Amino acid sequence: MTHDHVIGEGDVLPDIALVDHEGTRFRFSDHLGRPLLLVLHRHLA
Amino acid sequence: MLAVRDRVDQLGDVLPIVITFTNDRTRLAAYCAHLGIDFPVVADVDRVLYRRCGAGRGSLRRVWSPGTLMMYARLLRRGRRLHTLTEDTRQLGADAVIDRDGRLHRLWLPPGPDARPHVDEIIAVVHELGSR
Repeated sequence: MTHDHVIGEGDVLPDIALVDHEGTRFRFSDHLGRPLLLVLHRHLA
Repeated sequence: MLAVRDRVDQLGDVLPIVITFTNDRTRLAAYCAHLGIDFPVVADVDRVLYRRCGAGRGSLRRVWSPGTLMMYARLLRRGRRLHTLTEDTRQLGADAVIDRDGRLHRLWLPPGPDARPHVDEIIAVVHELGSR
């Protein structure tokens, strides 16, 4: 199993560091306890 | 995305998060304002999450299928302005519902841009998690 393995249903979501429009880090772990709906966009058309 | 925005009140306490891979942060704020959404829009510039979710790149034929062209035509008819595409148009998207413990509850990997799950299906899955 590599660090980049594909996750499946039941797996913990990797806590990837994302960035918002102000450059602030956004982490999923800051929202534990609340369900999330992730919409992975293709591109900003 | 617009369908989710328009029915966000049916998502209970679920937090929608839009993830893109643009490396131009200024476009994130413009995108929020243009669509009138107030939930987070964040960038995964290196596409780490895309890879971890298994969202790959589609073939040109699949990405620019007649269904995709019809989808963009519908958006234009509704007044949506399309920008010049500077990003990887072959990157496919994905939709995922994460439970309260941070585990992947459901993952959709559409084979093309015109095959995203219907918002009704997403709402039904969200309701599986119950509400608090």
